[in-house]
Amino acid sequence: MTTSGGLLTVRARYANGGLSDIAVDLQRPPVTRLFIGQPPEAVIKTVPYIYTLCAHAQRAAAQAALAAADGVERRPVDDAELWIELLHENFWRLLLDWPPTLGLPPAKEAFVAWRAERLGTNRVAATQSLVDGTLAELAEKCRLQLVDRRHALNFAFPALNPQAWLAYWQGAVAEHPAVRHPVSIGAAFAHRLAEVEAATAALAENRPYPLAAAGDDGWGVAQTITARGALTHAVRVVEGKVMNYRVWAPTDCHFAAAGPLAALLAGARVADFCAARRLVEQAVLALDPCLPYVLELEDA
Amino acid sequence: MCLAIPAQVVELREGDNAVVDLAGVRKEISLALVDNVAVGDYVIVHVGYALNKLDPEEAAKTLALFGEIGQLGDDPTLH
Repeated sequence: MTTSGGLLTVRARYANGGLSDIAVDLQRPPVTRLFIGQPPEAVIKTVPYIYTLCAHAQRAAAQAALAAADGVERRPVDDAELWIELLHENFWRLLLDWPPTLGLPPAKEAFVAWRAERLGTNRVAATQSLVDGTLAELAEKCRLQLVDRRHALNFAFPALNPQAWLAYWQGAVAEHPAVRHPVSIGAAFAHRLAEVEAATAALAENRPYPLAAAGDDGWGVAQTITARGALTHAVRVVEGKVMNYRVWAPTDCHFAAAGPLAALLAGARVADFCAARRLVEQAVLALDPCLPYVLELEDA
Repeated sequence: MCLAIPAQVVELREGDNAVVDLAGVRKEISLALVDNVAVGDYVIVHVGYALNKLDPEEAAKTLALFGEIGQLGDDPTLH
């Protein structure tokens, strides 16, 4: 049995007050190979068992991609369930993960209390209360600790373009569409805060969750959003069986190469080795891998 | 981790913590996010927290799926 959900290794070299030789190595179990040879319905039933953090988004994307391949209308999704899932991950980062990285205590009790109410009838009020209260206060403290306090301007949820991904999936173009990466650590933090506000409003107003698909004749691509970015499922169905299946999760896109992480650390000056470690940890958190990582920081 | 690999609770500890067994690897986690967890239960773990509890049938089905994945070998190009 596979014993882990994969591992991300991050390597960097600290010398003369700066960071260099940034490298990443992302290893994932070959999950989608389970789907090969299966009928579409079997894939839809299996997906929620496999994924933890974004199980609802994964299932919605799988259903939409398979429906597109079959040329039928996708099943309706539970929009509120998807908004709550996205908020859950964002709250986890903002209340539990970011504060310790910035030398502040996490707001564990507030997160636990919201989590207990998130699926109940009081979920909208509980969410708004958390955003306006604990999160607002803690976020301000976090912002003061961030060296880079640039804010994300003109917030928008990640853009979905299943037609372009379908062209890539079918081999009509050589490169998949460009994926947006955070431009700075501060911008990533600000983007997450803005996303929480937008998702809270969407939940309160029962807005449809972003989900788009394209395809026909056995080819299907669907995209939706998660707290880490856009999620893409692509499927090829032949004679009622899945012949090929790929998932591009945000972690796959942000850590496929060292470029996005290196860009966040480029030109940074740090006082010592400990500060260098903290900065790399903040940069990794800005890109937010959905699996454990180890940091190998060389002190040159 | 983003994959829902069930871990079995093998020991309850003070401070709402527990030791789980994940395919032979033992680690201490927090139970702060879930209620009524007992020794023998299966939970899904993410960065040191149990996220939710699974019924035994669901856990067995999921473990069988990951057993199949483990037999597929590593292919970093597929996810």
